Amino acid sequence: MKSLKPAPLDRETPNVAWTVMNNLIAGILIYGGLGYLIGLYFDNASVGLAIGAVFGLAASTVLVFYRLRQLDGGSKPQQEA
Amino acid sequence: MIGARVPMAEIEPGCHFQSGCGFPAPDASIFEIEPYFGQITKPVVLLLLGSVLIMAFFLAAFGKPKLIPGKLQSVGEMGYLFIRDGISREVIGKDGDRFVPLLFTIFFFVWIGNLWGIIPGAQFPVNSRFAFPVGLAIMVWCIYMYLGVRHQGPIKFFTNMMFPPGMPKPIYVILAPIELISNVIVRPVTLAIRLFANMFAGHLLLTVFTVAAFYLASPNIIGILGSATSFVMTVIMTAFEALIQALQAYIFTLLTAVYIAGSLHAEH
Repeated sequence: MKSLKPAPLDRETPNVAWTVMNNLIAGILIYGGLGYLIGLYFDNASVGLAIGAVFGLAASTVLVFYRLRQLDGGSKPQQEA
Repeated sequence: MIGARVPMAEIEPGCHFQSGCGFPAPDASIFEIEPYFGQITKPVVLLLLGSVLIMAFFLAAFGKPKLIPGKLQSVGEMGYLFIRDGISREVIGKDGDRFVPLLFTIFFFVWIGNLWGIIPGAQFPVNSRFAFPVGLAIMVWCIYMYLGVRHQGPIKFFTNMMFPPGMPKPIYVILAPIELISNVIVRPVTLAIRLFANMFAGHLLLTVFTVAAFYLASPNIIGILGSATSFVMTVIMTAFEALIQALQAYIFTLLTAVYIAGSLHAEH
């Protein structure tokens, strides 16, 4: 059993690391829900939910990508995306 | 017996793998405990007892502080420094020192609640009842929302939350709602579920191996091997549980500190 005290971290590192999971869940939730509602309007809720959830997962992955990139020595993400 | 967490009355007498009654796998019903009286259940009693024990311990440790600390005071100071230097200063920084009492209390409160899971006689982790982690998470949510509004102002707090810097402008339309939901709704939910699920699963796991050790015990090769393996696994999983319990208390405290830090200083 190792000591529970973690190695010294960059002050921002634990913050972002623990946010990743929340971001992924939130992305799926909000765009899955939005897709579901739109699908409900077009009488095809399940298709809307599926598309929305995948889109939400993609969007939150992009968000995580940008946040982690920001940590990386403060290098500015390129403006191409 | 170590880890004997199911009252034997719950296992049907004579239920044994040679009597053909099938393995009485423990399910979620082991978490439903009859109240002693009124609404007072075992977790409530353990929680109160745990709080009293923590108070008694730290009163004894810090009641009459000496320049050269005795044994008890040394242990207490170790715990305090672990929270202050390991969590508060690491995550929040120097101005986090005023939150050390809060973090300190949360850590030991959660830990003793979890620790009851492997203490013989008690053997029920308080935080495996969902209401307890939910209560703690709601408290943490109120604290970091209040601090955010107070330190950054209500409008700046939410705009800082929704628009983290360093992203191309058009993407904000899609990402801002994710940030908002993730910080306001998903955060407390995952905080509570993480603690609850770990304690729930750990308790269930220990129960399965304990029941198996009794169920398989019989004078033949399968019985001896199976029962002995289950018993050894119970002991190993109890040690593992001890690690998980401390770790979950640590993570809960660390995340509280992270959320407080996020409310105090916006990301730049």
